[in-house]
Amino acid sequence: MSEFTLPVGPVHPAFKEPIQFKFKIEGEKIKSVDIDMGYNHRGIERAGMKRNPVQIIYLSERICGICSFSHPFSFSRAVENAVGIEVPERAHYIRTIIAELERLHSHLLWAGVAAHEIGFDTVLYLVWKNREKVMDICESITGNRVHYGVMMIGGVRRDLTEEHCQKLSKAMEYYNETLTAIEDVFLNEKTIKMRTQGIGILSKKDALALSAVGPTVRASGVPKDVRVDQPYAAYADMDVKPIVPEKANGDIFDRVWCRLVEVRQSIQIIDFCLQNIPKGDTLAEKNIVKLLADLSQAEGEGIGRHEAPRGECTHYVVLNKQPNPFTWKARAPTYNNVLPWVPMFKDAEIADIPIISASIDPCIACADRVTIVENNKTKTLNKIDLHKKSIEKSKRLKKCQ
Amino acid sequence: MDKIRKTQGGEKMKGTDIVSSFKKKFGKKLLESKIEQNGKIKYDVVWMKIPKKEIVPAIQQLFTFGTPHFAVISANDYPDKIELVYELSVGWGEKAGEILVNIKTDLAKKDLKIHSICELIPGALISEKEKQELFGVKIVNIPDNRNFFLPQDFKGHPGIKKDKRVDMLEVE
Repeated sequence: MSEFTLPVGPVHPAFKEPIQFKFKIEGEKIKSVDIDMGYNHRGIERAGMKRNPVQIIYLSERICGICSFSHPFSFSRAVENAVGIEVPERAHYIRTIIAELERLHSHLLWAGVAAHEIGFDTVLYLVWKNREKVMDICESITGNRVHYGVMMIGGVRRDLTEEHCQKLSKAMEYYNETLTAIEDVFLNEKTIKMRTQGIGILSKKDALALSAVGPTVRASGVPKDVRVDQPYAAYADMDVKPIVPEKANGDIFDRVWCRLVEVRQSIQIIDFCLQNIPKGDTLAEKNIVKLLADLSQAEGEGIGRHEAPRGECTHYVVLNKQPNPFTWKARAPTYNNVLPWVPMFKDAEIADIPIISASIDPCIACADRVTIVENNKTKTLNKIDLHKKSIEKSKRLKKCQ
Repeated sequence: MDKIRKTQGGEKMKGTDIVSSFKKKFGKKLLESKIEQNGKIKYDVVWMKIPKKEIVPAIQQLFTFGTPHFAVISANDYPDKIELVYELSVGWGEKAGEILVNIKTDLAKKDLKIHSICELIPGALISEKEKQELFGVKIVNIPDNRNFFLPQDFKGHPGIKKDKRVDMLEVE
C-alpha cells in the first residue's frame, strides 16, 4: 500500500491555536507523525524581563486563558522562594481554593471538547451547562471568569467573605450531585468506551522517558503530582493522593477517568479548605511600592511549581538587584506533553486524530483545514470534514455492536 | 479529605544524599553545590554546578536515585557566558518525597556547544531545541536538528538572546 503524507494544521482540528502535525499514513492507519510548532511564539518571557515582578503576574496570566491562575501561582512561588517571602496561611488556603476551581472548570471544559470530538454533542452541552456554575463562582470571588487578577507576590489581592464561602459550599454540593450523571455517561456509555478504550496508548515506559505531566502521565500509571510530591499552599495540610488508575492502560479512557476523579478530588479539597481556612492577613506585604522596592534590592534565584489542570507548571526566576528580573522562564504543561503524542498516534486511524490530540488537553489549537498530498495531487479536507470522519466512526462502531 | 499525618514513616531520600553522591563521583569537578529548603513541609531543592563536559555523566548519576523526571532547561544569558540550568526531580510519587535537582553548567559565548542528554532522557528534545533556536546554543548529537519554534529557513540572531539584539520597543 502506498504511503501518504497528511498535514494537519497549522490550525488544528481540536483547539484554536496553531500547531502542525504531518502524518505518514497507509490507508486509514497512521504510521508516524512529525510535529511542528512555533507559529505563534510571543516571546512573552523576553517581554517579562522588561517588566517588574508585579507586572509579570498579569503578563503570566495571559500565557493561557484556562490556566490563568496556574502561571501567576507558579511565578509568585518562584519569586517567594528566591527572596524567602513567607505567605500568610489564609492566603495559602485562598490560593488553593482558586487553583482547584480552575482545575474543576478546566477538566469540565475538556470533557465537553472530548465529547464533541467524537460527535457526542449532547454530552458537550450537558457538561458545559454544568461548568457555568464554577465560572460564576470564579467571577463572584475574583471579579472575573478567567484572568482573575487575584494573585500577588506574598499572598492574594482579595479576601474571601462569609458570603463567598457559603456560595462555594453550595456550589460544591451542586457538583457533588450533578457530577454523577456526567461520570455515568463518560465511564459507562458504550460509544465513549468504543472510541476511547485501547486508543491513543501511552505506555508507562514512554510516559517516563518523554517526561509527560499531569493526567497524561498519571493515566499511564505514573503517580506524578506536585501537590503530593512537594506539597505547598494548603495541600501541605491535607492528604492528597495522586489519581492513578488501578490497572493503567495509558489509553484515552484512562485519561478521561483520571480527570473525572480529579474533579471529585477538587471538590473534596475545596470543602477541606472551607472547613479549615484560618483567619488572618492575606498578604505578606500590603504596600506594593515597598514590595517592589524590596524586590528591586533582592538577589537570588527560585523555582515555583504548581500542579495545573494540564500538569506541572514550572517557573524559574533570577533576581539581581534590579527592578526587573534578570531571567524568567515559564514552562507550561503542554511543552512536556507534545512528544508523548508520537507514540499515541502510532497505528491509530485518521478518524481518531481529533480525540487523540484532544486527549492530552493541549493548549494548542483548532484546525481549519487538512491537506492530503499524493504524488503532487492535493486533496483538502476542512475542519468539518475531519470532524465528520470522527462522527462517522462513532456511528459505524455503534452499528457493529 | 483527611488532614495529613504529622509523622511520616520510613527513611526518605535527602538532598544531602544526592550532593554526597555527586561529590564522590565528580570530586573537584563539582564546582558548586547547595541545598535549600522550601515550602510549608520543608522539601529539599538541590543546586549543583558542573563543567559542561560532565553534563551527560551528571544526568547518568541522577539515575542512581531512580528515574528522574525532566522539567526544563532554563538559560541565564550573561555578557560572557550562557548558564544552562537543567531542572529535574527524583523521588516523586511519595508524599513530600520528591527532591528538585537543578544542575547548572556554563557555556562561554565563544564556544556555545554542549552534548545532548536525549540518549538518557528523550523528553529533553524540545527544551534542547529551544536553547538552540532562542539562545544560539549548539547541542551536539541532538537526535533531530530541525527548528521547532522558529521557521525552518530562519536565519538571524537567536530569538531572545540578549546581546547584539535591537529591541523594537527600544527603537525611537
